[in-house]
Amino acid sequence: MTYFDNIILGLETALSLSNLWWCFVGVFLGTLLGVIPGIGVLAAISMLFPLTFQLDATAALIMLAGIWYGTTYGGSTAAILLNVPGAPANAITALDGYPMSQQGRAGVALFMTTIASFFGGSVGIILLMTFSGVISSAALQFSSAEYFALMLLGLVAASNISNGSMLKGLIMVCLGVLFGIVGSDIYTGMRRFTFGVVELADGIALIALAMGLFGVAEVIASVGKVDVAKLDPKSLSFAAMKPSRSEMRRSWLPMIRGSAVGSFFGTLPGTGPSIAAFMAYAVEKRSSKTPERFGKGAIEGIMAPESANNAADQTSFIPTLALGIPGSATMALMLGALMIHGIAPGPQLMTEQPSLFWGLVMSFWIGNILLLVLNIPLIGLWVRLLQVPYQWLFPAVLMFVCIGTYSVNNSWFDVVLVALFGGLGYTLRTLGFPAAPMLLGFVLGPMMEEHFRRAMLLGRGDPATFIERPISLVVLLVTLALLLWGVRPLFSRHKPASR
Amino acid sequence: MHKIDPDLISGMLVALFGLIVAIYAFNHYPMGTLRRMGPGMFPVGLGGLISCLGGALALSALFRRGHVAIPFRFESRTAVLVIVSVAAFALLIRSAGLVPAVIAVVSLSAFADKAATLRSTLVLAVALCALAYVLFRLALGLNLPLLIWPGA
Amino acid sequence: MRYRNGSGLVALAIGLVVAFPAVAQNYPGSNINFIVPYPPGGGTDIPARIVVDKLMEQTGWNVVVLNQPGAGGTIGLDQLARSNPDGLTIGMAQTSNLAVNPALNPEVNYDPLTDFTLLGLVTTQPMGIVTHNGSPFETFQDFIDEVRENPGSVLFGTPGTGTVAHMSIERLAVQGDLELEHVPYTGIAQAISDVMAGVVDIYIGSVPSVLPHVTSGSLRALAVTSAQPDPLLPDVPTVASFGFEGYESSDWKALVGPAGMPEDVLASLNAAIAAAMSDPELRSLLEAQGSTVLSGDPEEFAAFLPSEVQTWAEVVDAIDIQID
Repeated sequence: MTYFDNIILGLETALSLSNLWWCFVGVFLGTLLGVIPGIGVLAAISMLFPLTFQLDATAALIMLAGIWYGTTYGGSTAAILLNVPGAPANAITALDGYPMSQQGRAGVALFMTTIASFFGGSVGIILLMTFSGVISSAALQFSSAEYFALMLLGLVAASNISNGSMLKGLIMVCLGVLFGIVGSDIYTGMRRFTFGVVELADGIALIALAMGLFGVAEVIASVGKVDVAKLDPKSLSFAAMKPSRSEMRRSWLPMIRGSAVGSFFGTLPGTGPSIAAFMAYAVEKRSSKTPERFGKGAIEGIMAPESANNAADQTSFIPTLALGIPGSATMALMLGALMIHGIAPGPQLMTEQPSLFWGLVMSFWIGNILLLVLNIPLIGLWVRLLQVPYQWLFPAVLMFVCIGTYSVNNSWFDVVLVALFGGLGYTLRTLGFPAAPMLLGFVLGPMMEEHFRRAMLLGRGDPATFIERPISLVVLLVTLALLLWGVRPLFSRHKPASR
Repeated sequence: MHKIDPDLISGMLVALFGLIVAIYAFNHYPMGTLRRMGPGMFPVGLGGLISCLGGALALSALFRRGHVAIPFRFESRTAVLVIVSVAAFALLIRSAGLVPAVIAVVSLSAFADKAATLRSTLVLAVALCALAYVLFRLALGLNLPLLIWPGA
Repeated sequence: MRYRNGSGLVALAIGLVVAFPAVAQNYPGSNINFIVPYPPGGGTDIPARIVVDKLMEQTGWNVVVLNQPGAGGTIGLDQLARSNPDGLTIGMAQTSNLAVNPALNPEVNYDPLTDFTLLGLVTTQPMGIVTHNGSPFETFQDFIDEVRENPGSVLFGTPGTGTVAHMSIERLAVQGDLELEHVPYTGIAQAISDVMAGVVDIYIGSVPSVLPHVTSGSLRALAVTSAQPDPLLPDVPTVASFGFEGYESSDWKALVGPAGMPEDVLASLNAAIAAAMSDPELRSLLEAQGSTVLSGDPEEFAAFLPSEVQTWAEVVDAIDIQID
């Protein structure tokens, strides 16, 4: 069968009435869950999992996948409007999305993130359609030495992710790493910094840290200070969503770069949309000629991460479908849905189940188009949310954060952590410490330790392993170059006075 | 009034914290060898790094003219009410159920805003309970008991 | 305290007083909570949901799955052990949290042999020991010979420290007096990718997780850990057949309730479980997960568990590993 035949087969499968319906159910639920802060995609998928026993494998996978990428579409909404990310993968979008909203450009921001999501998703799907084989065998070349080099690159690249003092950013990264390594040590099982609390044995939940640091801390900072947004009726009209010409012009490259970064991180097992979004933002700020605009409502700052996390959503199917290696818990669940129907995931899936593989891939297109159609008319509705007085809104936000966090692990302790991180986050914020680097350190730090230690184990104790492996060497050289380039202004001219 | 630079204090606190982390990790977790690193090696290094960064921050504050501007003031009343409201939710969701937990988080946090009245808070609490019920129980089908009678 | 122990006693007393067959007909009377001590979508969650689905379909009961992950599955199981033994709380346990962890982890408060009502074994899965397709180890014996010749030279990947796969390898090492270099991973993704690339020499993981790669030829299966060859890999010999007498290690899943459930409630539950487990659709769904389906018979489980608990305790003693 030719490539073209496969696409036709896929379209036929995806466009069948029942598959279309399940695709809609998936993306609709996904968007809804994405908008609500805290509710996890994994929890939603597993609740719907028994439903898939009754469906055929293709419809089941189409629906579950729809929830997965739909969540990332919706997740930017609360981040932009309320500075409270719907999911950790959208935390970085708030950095520039919320300032845009405060400047009365919420409509533009929501519209453009939808476009960015669609663009990133499309790039991811194209890669999935064309280069699955190549990409998945390339991903096999990545072992722990390469991962360590990449994580290091990420931390260095992102050290200036927030404005203000770089020293404070670095402190927050390190504190994040420290929170990240709480729990059982991967190599010995020894519990570190748990102080006898059994609930901490598996570590601090990402959702608890993210919701405390961004959700609760934001509410405390805003109560009594945020008035009803100065929202004139005009800003709700369709025309107000239209970005200016210069915004359009500045959006293209970030979207392309963001999609590239996102696609890359999506294919690597263990990394995912959150890391992809952070990296895309860091790359964008690094490569910008005017990095000082970031954090103050720069459109590049929302386009890059939103295209990256959606691209990562799609490309994470590459190792899952092409190799049968699930990169995350959600992907493992997708494979579970396949196995229930007696389909063995693995390299032979594409050839043995062409209608399933291509039907699923083509359903991603349909799902992304549905999301576009679903989300754009909703923008007006979401923006109206800003007209609700904050004194009514913030208790509702807190309620969503609480229920959402609780439902992820059914853990009351996670909600206690939300309260603690809320207090810590707010205190640090009043002292001028930025929150985003802490989340980044939290995500990357434990992986960095894991891979460093494993690389040393595999290299039998010889640190030369990091420079003997070509990919690792190249990444480390890039990191070094970036580091030197980053400290260059310290020597050439005076740093601009902080704030 | 002569004010101390807040960066000086926070830098010193961070440095102290890092030191405590490093010492605690060194005393409690084995360091291992370079080949098979123990659980202690990474935290000890990390604690040391945090300590150095904190020290650098404190020093930079010492040798700086003027003070760094603080973005905003610490609002203790708001902070305490919001944090307590979230903690109240955490304690009630298991033992009392969704409705009491939502009422607690909503009504406690609402008073963080000075404009809140008893009446408006009650209305809001009832409305959000209904919303939580419709959204989480009916629409999303989450398994959250609405109300657990004590002793039942 | 999160657990209402007092009310548990009251419920127990009521349960004992009104233990008539008539009440059993009223069982369950309300929702049955089904605790899965692992995150949604995991290897324990999926079979649990398959069983729950079939129970609800056959009996008309309303069974609600509650995922209560944490501390390697011990938080949820601990909660289960302390809940009211009224039949309204049951759950899914497995090798790791019911048999291995109580020996491995001093913080585990439950005793697997006294704190639970054993309802029945649901499935069992052996582990497969694999190497990459270009490996010099053509057979399991080649690998054993190499380890005996050069102790510590073979890098051995597992999906994680303290997992059943890891403990199975430790058991092999103890029984055969072998020295292996253990390389733990976090889950299967990176581990499988590394064994395929030859970064680690050998990997052990559940048969379904390695099966697709064995089928496609990128991995070579050397042995399975069950007593008999696994139906999914019928040509692969067992570890026991290489001179490891009595070696058998598997990842099983089982239904349990808190200890002290009233007879009549237990009778209704056992009948319902037996009916569900003999259903052909349920069996085929579970088999599709790569599992061997068991009977769900409580006596079989009661006979099996003590020796299993003892075996793992001996392995833990021998290897001087402790999770604290």
